[in-house]
Amino acid sequence: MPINYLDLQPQIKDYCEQAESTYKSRSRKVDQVLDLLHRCADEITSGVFQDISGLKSPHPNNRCARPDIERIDQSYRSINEEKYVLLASDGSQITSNHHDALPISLINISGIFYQPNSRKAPKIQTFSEFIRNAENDIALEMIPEDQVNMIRDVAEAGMLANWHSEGDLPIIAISDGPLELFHEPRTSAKHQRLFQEYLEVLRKIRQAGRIFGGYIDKPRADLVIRMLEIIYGSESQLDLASISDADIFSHLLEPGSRSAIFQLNSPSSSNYTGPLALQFFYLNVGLKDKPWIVRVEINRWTADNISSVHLLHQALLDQCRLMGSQPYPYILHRAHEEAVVHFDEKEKLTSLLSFLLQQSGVEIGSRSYKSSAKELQKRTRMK
Amino acid sequence: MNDISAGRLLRSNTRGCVVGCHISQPVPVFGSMINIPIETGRVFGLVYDIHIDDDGLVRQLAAAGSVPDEVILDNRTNRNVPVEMSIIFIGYSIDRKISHLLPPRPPLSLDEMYICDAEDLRNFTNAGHFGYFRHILSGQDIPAGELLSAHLQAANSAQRDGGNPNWISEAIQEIISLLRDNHELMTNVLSAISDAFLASS
Repeated sequence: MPINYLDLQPQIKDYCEQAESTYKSRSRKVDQVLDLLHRCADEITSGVFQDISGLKSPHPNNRCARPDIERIDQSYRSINEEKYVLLASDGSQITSNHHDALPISLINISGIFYQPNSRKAPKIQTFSEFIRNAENDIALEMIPEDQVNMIRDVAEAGMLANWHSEGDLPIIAISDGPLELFHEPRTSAKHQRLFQEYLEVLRKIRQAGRIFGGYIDKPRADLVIRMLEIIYGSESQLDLASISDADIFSHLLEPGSRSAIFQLNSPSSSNYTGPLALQFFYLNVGLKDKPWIVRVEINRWTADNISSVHLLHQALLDQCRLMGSQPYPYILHRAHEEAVVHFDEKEKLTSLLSFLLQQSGVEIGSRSYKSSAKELQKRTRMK
Repeated sequence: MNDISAGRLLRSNTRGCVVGCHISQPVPVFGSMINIPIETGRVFGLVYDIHIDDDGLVRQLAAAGSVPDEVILDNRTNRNVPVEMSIIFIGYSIDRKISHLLPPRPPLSLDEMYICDAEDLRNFTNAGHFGYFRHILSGQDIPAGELLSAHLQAANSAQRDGGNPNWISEAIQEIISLLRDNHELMTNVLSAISDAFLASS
């Protein structure tokens, strides 16, 4: 028990007092934002804001929402009775650091194809691949983690683009997390090449006629709040810190309904142009008296077709309902289960490679003594 | 001899083993006689427990209410949730000679298990004089009465098909003889056997 609870006792009291104070101020802030949201919606409708679509954050690194064509303070229900099929992907990776005996950089990507009401088991594909360098050789040097993550993200989208599917039902492709690559913008040639590859994969998903959505569970984003701050910040001293868009939309959205579709304005959003432009909506996948707000990122090609939005909306609700009181798309959970690489698998792979290399007479390095010492007690945590 | 694998061995000891199989494989029923080929012959056993472990997802889905067929099929065919069977060893064979003693060494991890067919059952139960009953009756945490009655039903059917209708009464006489000093267990075992044969008659 390394935590000194004696030291912590007074701090725990402070923590609770501060949390209580923040909690109390939050409901006031939420009311304030809801008022501003309604006001903004009225002013857009009455034409007070002429160039709202050009709204930009004054801080280049900040992100914010921009209204699109729907009224921003309304909720929207799904109107869909069309059948559909679902495709989801997820990925996991092994990365190494200099404490490891062998540098291993590997991605493991899964895809799952689910046909509701088909009475057929979903189809699953998984592939594992060492990261390769520009010469297409397996990279034996240490690859930075963010680069491996970006390669994984591109491969996850690639799984959705390349899945061969027969049948004429609309295909809804879902990925876990935002469609905007978190690792962007980066300036290195390697990152730029990966980013261009990602855009190409997005184009391929669009060309395949797929409806594509990125599901963000428990979003922390305050994009809509930032938008209101930018519009009304000069009028009065607004203090909207420590609340998120989810706090706002949990008051505005009935279970099963979504928010208006917003445009996403971020440092990298200008790289997603035309039909690839990034948009999003919030969705309440929770139950009565137990709202659960998620954010769904889509591209303009999906947003421009309202029947596609309805289909995606309905599919996400159907999937979340399968999981009962803790709503989350079943298909995404399964994709994660199929993809996730556990710590002991990295250990097994390291042992296998070490054994084969030693058999071939290759001298391999050893794990750092610091790392070995940490393993003396059975590992119970990832970091 | 049946040559369709019904699972692979997960762990074993001298008295028994645990076998895992996928739901798509033929799953032996409770009381089935199985055999596991080893280098020198075969090890015979009876299935006395079949268990299917749950996990967090299964618990959540079960609590969610209506579960679509696709999700049920996904969990049964795609997810790595094996059916585990506990086996009690009842004998072995070397060079086709059957013994009702415990095997000289247990089978090894990932050895394959097969369900015995009627001929195997006849061959095994005709060998010796019911010596394997004592493994069942002395087994710890084994539902001896239920297991014996399930086994006797299957063996009786195989013996009758093989023209030996008297096998069952000899078997029951042997059980009574083995349990003459354990009245409580004898009552349990005979009651289970009686239930099983009443139900099947």
